[in-house]
Amino acid sequence: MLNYIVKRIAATIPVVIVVGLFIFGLLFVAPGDPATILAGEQATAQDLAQIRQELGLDRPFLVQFFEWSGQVAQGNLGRSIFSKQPVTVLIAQRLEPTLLLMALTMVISVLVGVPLGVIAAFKHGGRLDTFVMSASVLGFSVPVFVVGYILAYVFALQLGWFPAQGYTPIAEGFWRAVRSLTLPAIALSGVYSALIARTGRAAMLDILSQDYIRTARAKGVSQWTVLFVHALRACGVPLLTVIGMGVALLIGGAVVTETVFSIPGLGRLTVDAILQRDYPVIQGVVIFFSFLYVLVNLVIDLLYTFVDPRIRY
Amino acid sequence: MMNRKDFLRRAGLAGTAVLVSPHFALAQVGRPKSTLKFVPANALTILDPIITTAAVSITHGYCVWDTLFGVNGKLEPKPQMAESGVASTDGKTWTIKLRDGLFFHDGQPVRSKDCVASLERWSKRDVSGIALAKVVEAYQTPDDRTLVIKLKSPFPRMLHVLGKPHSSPAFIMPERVAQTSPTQAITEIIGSGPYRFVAKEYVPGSKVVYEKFEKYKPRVEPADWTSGGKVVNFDRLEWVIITDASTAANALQNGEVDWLETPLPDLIPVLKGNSNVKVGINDPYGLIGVLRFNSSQVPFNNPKVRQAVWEAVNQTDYMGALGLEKNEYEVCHSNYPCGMPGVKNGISGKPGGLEKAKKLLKESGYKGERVVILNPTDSANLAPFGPVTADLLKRIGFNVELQDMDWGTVTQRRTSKEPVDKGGWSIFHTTWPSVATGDPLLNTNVRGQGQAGWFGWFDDPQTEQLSNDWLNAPDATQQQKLFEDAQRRAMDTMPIVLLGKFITHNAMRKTLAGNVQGSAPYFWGVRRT
Repeated sequence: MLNYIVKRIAATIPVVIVVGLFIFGLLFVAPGDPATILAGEQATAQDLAQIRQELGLDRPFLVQFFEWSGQVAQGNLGRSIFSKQPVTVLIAQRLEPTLLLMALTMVISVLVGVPLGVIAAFKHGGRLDTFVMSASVLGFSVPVFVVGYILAYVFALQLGWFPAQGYTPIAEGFWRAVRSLTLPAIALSGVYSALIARTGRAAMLDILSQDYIRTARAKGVSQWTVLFVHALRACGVPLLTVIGMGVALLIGGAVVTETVFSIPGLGRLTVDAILQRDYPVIQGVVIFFSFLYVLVNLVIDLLYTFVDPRIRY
Repeated sequence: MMNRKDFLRRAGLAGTAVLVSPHFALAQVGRPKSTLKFVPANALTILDPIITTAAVSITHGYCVWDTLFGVNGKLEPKPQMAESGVASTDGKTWTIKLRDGLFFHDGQPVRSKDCVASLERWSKRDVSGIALAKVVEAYQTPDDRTLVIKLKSPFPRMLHVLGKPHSSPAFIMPERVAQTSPTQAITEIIGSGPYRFVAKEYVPGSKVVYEKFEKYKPRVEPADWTSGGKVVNFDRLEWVIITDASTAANALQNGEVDWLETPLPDLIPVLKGNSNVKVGINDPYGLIGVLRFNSSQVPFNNPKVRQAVWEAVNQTDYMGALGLEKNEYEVCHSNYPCGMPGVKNGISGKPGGLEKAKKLLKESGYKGERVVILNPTDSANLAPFGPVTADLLKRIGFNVELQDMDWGTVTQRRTSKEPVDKGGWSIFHTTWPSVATGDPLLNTNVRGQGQAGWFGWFDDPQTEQLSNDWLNAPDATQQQKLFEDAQRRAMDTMPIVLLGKFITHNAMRKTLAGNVQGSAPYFWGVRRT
């Protein structure tokens, strides 16, 4: 197992190199230039040229790339062109709300999606099954920002139960932090609950037709135990896969949700950096994401071994 | 004994009760009374107000720094950090005395040497400063409180220039900070303004925090724009960056923030309907919408073609596209902002309409060359202009291509001096505060500096001569005459088309009072009742 983990971690290096080259090249050819944004409305051509020189943007692509790669290899992701803050600091500032939002969203999605999927499979073909499947279609179809606006209007503006925007750091109180992310997490969880419910239902339908389930029922095992102990455990692998995908997507930042609820997460950092052409931040964040994705996939693969003892590395 | 099902049920109920309890309403808990929460129109990305003309950076500038002179509501210069500013009889020597008791946020006193370094840096970037630098012979500092500016020739608008409220004000920084290259952003945010910047709490794109500077010594006169006493009534000022307009409006109504700089026009009626919110006007001189031609490329290198566009423009269409009501804008037939001192609306008449535009275009010899409009779709104030212009030009008879992109790409594309088939452009739109374009020196839109000038590279030596003559006019009467000549010249040459002058609103909690109007939000005077 340890060998496997080490090999997987080592495999992130070529991934990061390829991603780095790709994102560096993409930014190099993409329209836009941070110098023009930095220079302001009344900048002259000389001002622009000087700024580009000071930022090192006038150097050849390979020179810029190798210099940047060398820095990254030493753990230095550079500094924001605009705020001058280290990219690592900017990422660290945004990591807590993103991770907490991700965790909260997945908890809600699992708590809602798994039981719904199980019940839908159990009541396959009936009205409850149809209701759950219809609800999951709504979960996929209704844009997150629409759900977000409705939740904010009802639960923040009208009822005053939750804040309409913003994030309270954990340092100011864990439950206050959770509360500030409750509405965004509910808005986001619609899609993931639907995904988990449908995946769970499909997997359960297959499992429930197995002989051992029939045997368990014949032996008088309760319906609850059959569904949530024997059958659900067998659905663990596909459910974990979907959950892993959801976690990976959420780490990338739920940009729309973060914008609607004004959460200072990684998604907004990425979008703001793209709009400003803050190259070091874009490059640093993408490298960070690629590393995290590999890590998340590794964790999910390791979790498979707990869910299904037949899987061994 | 409690079983697992009971435990889970009770824990869930308890957790929900804790979460929804009104005692935990974020709006009420944990915010001291003397904190003001402000939502700016844009995120603050550039902390150095000298290297940028971005309005948000200037608002930030007024928190942290101060200026030798300010202006009142009539845009008349008044001493601010200065105790006095006097010109010699021949106009070639200005002596400015600093007020006593001025300190920077690091505890150091403000000295005349700091002013020299600051003015030298500022005058390498700012259009007024550049004009001043051309005539400065030397700066002298006979003592720490006295600044002497020796000139090669008289510069009658010295105090106007030193006190200009926008784009960019002549903020005074510590000498060591002001010695930073004018093309590089400063890294120490230290000033002598009424607030000090709290660097450790700054989260770019999310939060900016300032604290009251206890050693700030406000003037005794009442505050009026950037003149008078800048009395701060809050210990802490927090800028909360909320990029979504609806969320910002909700946050204001919920009491989570106190002041929105510029709510969306669509949301103004909603905010007016809230009993805890009041809506006001930001800058009474307003903003102008501008259509900028690329005068260095076909077809707009031909003044007749530019004139044809002006003849067809209906400013009501553009203002309506922004969602503005009739009482929120003014139709302004000038290339200077109407309502600014000395500007004459309709000085060269009014547009003749679509048919006249078509006739002029035909007479101009236009051969169907492609017109490329750069349209920033991520800017609420600019995105509506693109489709209106594209439609208008097509109706006149132009061959039009509307290219949608983000503002970052616009800023890069507009630096191109190439023809459109090599990535160049023909038209882009922008807005300017009226006070930033209100005279022949400031109005970058109409200056004729050619290749050395603003994007579009309008070249007109006569305009430049008029600007220079106006700057050096011997008296107010002659200056007004020259100003009117400059206004007519701007209409004859048409380097831009003005699309309307409009006001923007702010919205704040009714518990706030005393906010001072100006071309930027100011955080002195305002208090919680």
